Amino acid sequence: MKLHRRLVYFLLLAFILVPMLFGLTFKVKPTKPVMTFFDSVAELSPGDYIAVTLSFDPSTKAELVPMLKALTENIFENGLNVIFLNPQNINISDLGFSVISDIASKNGKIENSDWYYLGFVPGDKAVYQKLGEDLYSVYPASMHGVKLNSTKLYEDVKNLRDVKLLIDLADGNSTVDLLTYLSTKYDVPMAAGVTAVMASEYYPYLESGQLKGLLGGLRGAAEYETLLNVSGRARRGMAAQTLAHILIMLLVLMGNIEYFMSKRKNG
Amino acid sequence: MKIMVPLLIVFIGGMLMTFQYYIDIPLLNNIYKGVLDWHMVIAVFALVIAVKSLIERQWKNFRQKTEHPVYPLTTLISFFAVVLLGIFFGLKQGSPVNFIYNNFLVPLQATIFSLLAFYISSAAYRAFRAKNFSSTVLLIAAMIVVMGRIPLGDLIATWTTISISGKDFAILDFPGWTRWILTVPNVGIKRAFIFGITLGIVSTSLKVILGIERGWLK
Repeated sequence: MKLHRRLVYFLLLAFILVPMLFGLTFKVKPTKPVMTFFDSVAELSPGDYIAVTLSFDPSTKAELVPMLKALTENIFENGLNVIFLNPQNINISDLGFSVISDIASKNGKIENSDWYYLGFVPGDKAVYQKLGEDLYSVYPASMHGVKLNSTKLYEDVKNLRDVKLLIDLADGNSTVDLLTYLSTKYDVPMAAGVTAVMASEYYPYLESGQLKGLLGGLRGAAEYETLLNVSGRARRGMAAQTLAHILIMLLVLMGNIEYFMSKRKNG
Repeated sequence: MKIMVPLLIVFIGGMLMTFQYYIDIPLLNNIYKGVLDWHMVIAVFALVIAVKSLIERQWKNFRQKTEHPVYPLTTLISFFAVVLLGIFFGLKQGSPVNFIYNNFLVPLQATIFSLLAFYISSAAYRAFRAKNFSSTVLLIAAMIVVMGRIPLGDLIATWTTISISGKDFAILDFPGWTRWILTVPNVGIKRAFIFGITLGIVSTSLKVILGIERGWLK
């Protein structure tokens, strides 16, 4: 008996909705790439500068916004100063800013003093290289027009070589570009958070030590939340993702049973 | 002359930028910084070309009365509306553009991407078959990685853990198997790809810089 496509869609919807409606959660065990990422942030001293590039579109916000939230909470808790920028994707500017400003106000952090949001500039890889030379020729002002030469950042950071860690949250190829044109060239330690389908791409860089840690998809965000000891959107979302994955495995199994039965029947 | 001048520019530019990476000379560094500025300026012009191309293409589609003229018209109206609202009311929080961004763009993009989950589940049922040796290996590896990435895999590993001479050993260690797949065969194959692609880039770049490859001149 073949399952109708609509039934498959309905089952998936049910498997996603039920755990969300009933607030189901699963324990997530942190893996080594996430623990290394967490340690890279934890070993920085209060007052150190960290740069976070938001290189994703709202389309992947389900995976990357929980990551951004957990990371921003951790950065503020550790008393680090942070520069947020999105030179790759213009579409994330407003969403990124609203997520960060909410967390910042909860933690009593002040924009353009404890954290900076620089936004988008066109130029792609040239921007990455220029950030390693002179931050203010690329970004003379913050996203909302505050001149950076009037801020504390201007005294402390001349270019991204002065930050202790660079983190890229990405749904595209920006991590490789940042590794090539900024991190390796200017010796800036780097870690990344990427969508689940992309995570396997970055294991060679993790194994070589070029990446100081890796968060892969919603699971990576959930592991980070576990290390922070908070139950955020990622840990809640993992229940839905787990059941959806189980359904997909069952569907693959059923599809293969059908295939072998029909093969046997047809000789 | 028409060929020699561009070839000379590419040769000198390519050589300068290559040497600049390895040799620390202030003059070369200043040239490099200047080139980066040019690159960023050119990128802005590329945006202008993209906008021109978008308008021309959509207008042509609308004028030619294609099957669905409403689509190009919607693109053009949305484009001009957002540009004009941005020019007159700014881009700050609470502005009309910000409203459109939060209430149209973000949910639309998220919805379209979320639909993938439904297509993947249907495709997994209909197409992911163990038809031959390669597809069987792919299927088994995929199932192990899926199990290793969900909390159920952790639970199964815990449930099936036994102690052999004081050392814990999981019989169904999905997270461990996943780790092995990701860090051994995956890394090896990916490295081979990276090296291959990089060598290809180096050889193509050298061919362009030395004037052997001239396809870009046409």
